[in-house]
Amino acid sequence: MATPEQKSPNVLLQNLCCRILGKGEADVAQQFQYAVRVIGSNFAPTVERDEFLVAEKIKKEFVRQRREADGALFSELHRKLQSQGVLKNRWSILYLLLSLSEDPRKQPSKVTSYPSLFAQALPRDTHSTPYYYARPQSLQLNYQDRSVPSAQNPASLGSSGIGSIPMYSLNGPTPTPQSFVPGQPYQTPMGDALRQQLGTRLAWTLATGQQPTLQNATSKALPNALARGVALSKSLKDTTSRLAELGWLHNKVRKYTDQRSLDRAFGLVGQSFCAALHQELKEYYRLLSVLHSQLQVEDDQGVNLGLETSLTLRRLLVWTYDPKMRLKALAALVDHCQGRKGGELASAVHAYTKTGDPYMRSLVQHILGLASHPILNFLYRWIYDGELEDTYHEVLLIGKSINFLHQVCHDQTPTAKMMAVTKTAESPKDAADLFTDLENAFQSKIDAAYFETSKYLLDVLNKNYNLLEHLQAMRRYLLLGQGDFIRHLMDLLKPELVRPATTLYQHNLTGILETAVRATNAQFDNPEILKRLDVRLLEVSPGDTGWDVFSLDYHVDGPIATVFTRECMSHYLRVFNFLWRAKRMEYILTDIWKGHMCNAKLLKSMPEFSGVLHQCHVLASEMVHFIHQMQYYITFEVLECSWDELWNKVQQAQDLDHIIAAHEVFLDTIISRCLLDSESRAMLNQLRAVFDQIIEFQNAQEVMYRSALEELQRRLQFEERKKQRDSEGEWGVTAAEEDEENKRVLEFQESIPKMRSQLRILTHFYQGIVQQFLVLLTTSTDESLRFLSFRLDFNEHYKAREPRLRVSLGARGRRSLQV
Amino acid sequence: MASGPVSVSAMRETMDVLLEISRLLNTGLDMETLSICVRLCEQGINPEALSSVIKELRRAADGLKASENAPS
Repeated sequence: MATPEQKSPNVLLQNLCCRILGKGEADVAQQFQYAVRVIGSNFAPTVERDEFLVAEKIKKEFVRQRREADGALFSELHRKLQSQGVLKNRWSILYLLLSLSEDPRKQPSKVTSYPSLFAQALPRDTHSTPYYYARPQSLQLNYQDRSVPSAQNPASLGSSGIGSIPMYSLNGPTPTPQSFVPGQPYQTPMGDALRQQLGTRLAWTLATGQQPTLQNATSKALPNALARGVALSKSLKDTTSRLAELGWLHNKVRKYTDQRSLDRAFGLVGQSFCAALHQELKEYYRLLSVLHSQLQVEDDQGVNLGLETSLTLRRLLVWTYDPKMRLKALAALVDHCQGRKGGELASAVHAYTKTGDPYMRSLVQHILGLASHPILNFLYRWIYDGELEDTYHEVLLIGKSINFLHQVCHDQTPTAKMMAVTKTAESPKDAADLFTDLENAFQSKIDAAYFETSKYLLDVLNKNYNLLEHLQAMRRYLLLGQGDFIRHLMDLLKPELVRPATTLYQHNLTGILETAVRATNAQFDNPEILKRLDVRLLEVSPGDTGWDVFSLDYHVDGPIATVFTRECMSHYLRVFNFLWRAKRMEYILTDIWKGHMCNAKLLKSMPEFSGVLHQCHVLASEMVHFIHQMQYYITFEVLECSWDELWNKVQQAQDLDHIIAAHEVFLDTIISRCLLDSESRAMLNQLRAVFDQIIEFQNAQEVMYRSALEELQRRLQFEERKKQRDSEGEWGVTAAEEDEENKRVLEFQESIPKMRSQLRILTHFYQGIVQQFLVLLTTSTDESLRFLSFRLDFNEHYKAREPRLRVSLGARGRRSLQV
Repeated sequence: MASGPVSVSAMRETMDVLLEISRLLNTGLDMETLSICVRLCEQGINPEALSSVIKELRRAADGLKASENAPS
């Protein structure tokens, strides 16, 4: 071995023959022929190409021979061998050594005379492969190329495809029965028992199924070979083929698990299904190893002929009956589950539990229990922890409550707590229950868990995050429920908001807001809520005043933002703007009224102005009536009703979804009833126009009052001066002064008709708009809006002026009669 | 065989180890036979077949010896 030149296998084989037989090349020709043929026809090993397995076998062998020290020594040597890494096929050489090993304590193995066998076999060989003998030195056997040996197979082994199987079975030192030696027709008369013994070994090899491919081939080939007239008795053939079925079934199941175990995408359910199958196969292997050991014992004792206890083919058949049924069930299951994964796979297995056979049912139940275990775990994780662990996309579920608690509320406590609540339900029952009780128990279990979790979630939201308080705060601040606060805020804001929007600064307004909070009942509110209250300025467009852009804002974040979403908040802001505008109208009208009251007495001394005042009063009270009715409608018909509904729903809510849904319904109702939705755009425009008219009226009246008051002031001053000069003993007025005074009075008196006409125009426009609005109201589908029209026009003041109102009212009346 | 040039000493070490294992397992192979076997195995020969061949050859050798001894 010092010169590692590449010699051809044939040359090496010849060397080997010479070496063992101790003869020259010429004398070993027969044996060499035999060796070449055997090697050439068995190029593929029937054992696992696994160095580790072989090493383990060797160690076991040492243990069996009670040579543990040597075993340790071997381990050491093996390790050294591995570290050197010179050899490619370490398993191969180790296997060879194992095969050749002899138990030193035993007698040299029973040697029967074999030369006769060689003698018999060789003549045929010279026929089939004549040139081996002729040119042994130059022949290159290509072992990597499968086509050469397989082409030889039919020729050299044609009559017995099974020849190699019993030869290289697992038992090392004991001579394997040579009855199937290639080329030897199986004709020697043998005792029936012996024949059965051989059959046992044959079936044994089949059943263990070390090499699936070979196994399949042989299990198919066996009946063929038997059928081709190997002289076995019919019953023997029969039993053997029945035993062969066992191997076939095993291979089927094994193939499935082998394929699947490498497939990472197969999922947890699939993996546990494979594990369950493996468990079954392990049971089967255990049986085989028991049989094997019995065989070993018999081999060690020598061939037992016809003894009662010996392992015969028939006995084997009986013993393997149950395992065969099991394997059959497994194979059927494997067939059925082909190409399925995840929940589908579990369902497929579940379908097999619906059988009348209790044996089969228990088997499938067991497998199902194992296979569905991941699903059960998964479900529990989902139900109790709210986490989805669907790494392999096996199940599609959505759970949020608990996840919500964990993720949004950063609340880790509930798991333990809820577990305590639902512990009874969570006792580790058989996972198969999951499928068998799918309808009843499990459902209720889920329901219970869901109920508990939802309740807990609501508790947490209410207690720790003050959800309900926030809801109320929304109503109080954004929906102007806190009247004193809003009124005071408006008082404070008025000087700021009349300025152009571009000159407003948020920090100023925030300061005012805080002042308003401190001065009113709002100060007693939860600081947590007040902290969130803020001022927001909408986008400024040219010509806007502060009133147009001012808005209150409520900051929502954290868990409550789930209820008060961004969309919700934008709704709230729209509603707020509407309400704020309406409120402002009320405020303006209050100012107007205040002006009336204060100035009425002062201006009494100007009789020429009383007509204007009268007109102003009439228009103002029309407006006051309108706005009061609008405010009534908004407050009582819209806000309070919807709020009551929402509050009831929230109180009864069982989970967060209910609350969110109720809240959304609440907002939608408010939006649509406040005419903010797209359908009532026309009405809203009319309403805006009414508001604009009110503002215009306010401005106009202010101008009129100012000029009237100025005039009054001057007249008073004039009188004052007159009196003063009188008392000083002078002339009260000079002619020039009097002229000037009279001229001014005349000017003022001339401006009065202008004012009156301006007021008339205003009134006319205003009434036109209100009539339009009433027409729209009466045709509205919303009942509360129609009632609003009644209230606004309670004395049929507008109806008398607007023919369309009469028509539509009549029409509506008829419609309602029909209904 | 290993594709690269394997040093002679490494080869010898390996062979020594294998011989030791062989001795432990009581295979009855001497150094030369073992080296032939190793070379065959390294060329991808099926060890099962090889072991059976060796056994057969041994039996044949025993038979030959017996037949030689019997007449003499």
